[in-house]
Amino acid sequence: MIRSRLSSLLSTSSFLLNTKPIPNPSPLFQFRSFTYFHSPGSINNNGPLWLQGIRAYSLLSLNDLRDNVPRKQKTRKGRGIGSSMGKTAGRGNKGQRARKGVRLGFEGGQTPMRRRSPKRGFKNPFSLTFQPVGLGNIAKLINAGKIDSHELITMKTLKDVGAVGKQIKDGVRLMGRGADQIKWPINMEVSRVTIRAKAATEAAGGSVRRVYYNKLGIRALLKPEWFAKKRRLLPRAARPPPKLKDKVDSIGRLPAPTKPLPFFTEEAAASNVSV
Amino acid sequence: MVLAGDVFDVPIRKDIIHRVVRWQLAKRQQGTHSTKTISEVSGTGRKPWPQKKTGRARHGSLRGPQFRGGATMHGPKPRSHAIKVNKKVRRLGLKIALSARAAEGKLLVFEDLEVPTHKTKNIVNYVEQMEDTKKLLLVDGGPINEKLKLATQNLHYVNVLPSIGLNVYSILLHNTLVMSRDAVNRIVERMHTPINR
Repeated sequence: MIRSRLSSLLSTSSFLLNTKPIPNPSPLFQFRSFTYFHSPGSINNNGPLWLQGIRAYSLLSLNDLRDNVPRKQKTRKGRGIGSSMGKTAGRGNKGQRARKGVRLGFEGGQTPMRRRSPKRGFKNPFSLTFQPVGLGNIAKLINAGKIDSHELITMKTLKDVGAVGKQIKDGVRLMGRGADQIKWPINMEVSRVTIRAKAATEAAGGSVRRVYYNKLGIRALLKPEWFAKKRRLLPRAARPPPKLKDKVDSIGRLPAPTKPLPFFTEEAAASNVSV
Repeated sequence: MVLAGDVFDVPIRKDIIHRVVRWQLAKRQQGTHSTKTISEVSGTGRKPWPQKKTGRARHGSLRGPQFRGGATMHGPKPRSHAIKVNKKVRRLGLKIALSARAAEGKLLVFEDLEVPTHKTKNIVNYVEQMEDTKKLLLVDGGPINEKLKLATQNLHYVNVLPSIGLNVYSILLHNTLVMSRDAVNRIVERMHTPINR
């Protein structure tokens, strides 16, 4: 309805504006000719305006705007009994606290808790935090259709699907909660696995490989577009440092791999190399 | 002419329009209000009379907030009132405003906004022929025709804008919107180009 009206008005209005003004026209005639060109349904004498579909009030007007969250009233202290914050304004009666204030943690001269309690420990700069994800969660996502169980499940797929959240600090740890829900073989490449989770996946016929990524490697795995935007090539995957060698099975591959590495070729390669 | 649905047919959200209008009105505030604090009020810092013995109240300065000619406590200082509204929200606000006018039937698209002369009375005639129009906003594509500008200059209920100047507050202020085909094309193209970071 709108479109036909627009097109009809388009033709009439361009007619009006593109021609020379008629010198001293009779206003009645002009008015009638204008209304004649309106689309047939718009001038309706069959009832009041609100029945005809012509709005009495505008859909959007400046006097009718409201946000979703109304603005909160600020409490102004010291403005009368009715505000419940009058006279003493929430400070109680007299004393240092009513007049000035005592600094945070000061206990009147008694040794404060911060100095009474002993110092403890140190911060390990090499510690790694892995985001946990349970097998039950993965099973739920496979059932929902968001993870393809025929392909290799890497940390990138887990992040894209939303199994681990957006912050993946040093990697993903596979945990065993809901392990009995995995009934199909799935192949995964994650940073760490718990013993039970590994046993559950192996029992179902799948495989779990622990891979190593350093910080740059994790970024290249999870956000290759960041490198593309800066016009940098993806970095080469880093080898694990000697003390982490036993905790991982292999170096992570960049970009995110799609086919799992079978275990026996690695052992054969290792045995070949050793011989 | 078929108008793009993702620009002229979006669901109406009054809260987004409220935010965009509030942003527009806030950013245009000059914010040049200023008052003097006690350190800025002209006058000495001398203690007016001794603390004790005179029967008067104790004062340290004659320019405190309780005094005539004294300072203003927590008074306004020049500042910017601008708030931040995301670019995508601003763009959506424009789309909602256009859709609202289109849905009410108050959006007219003309071939072009050429006027034969610079006479105001022609424009007055045209506006009288449109039904139920109190304020009219004409949006042209590129730079405004001199004749159109002169013709509408003296009418307080008709305003002209180039298509880059189209904004939510102006659309809401005027109850009828008249655009030229060129303006519509430019607006749709602008809405379709991605907002680059």
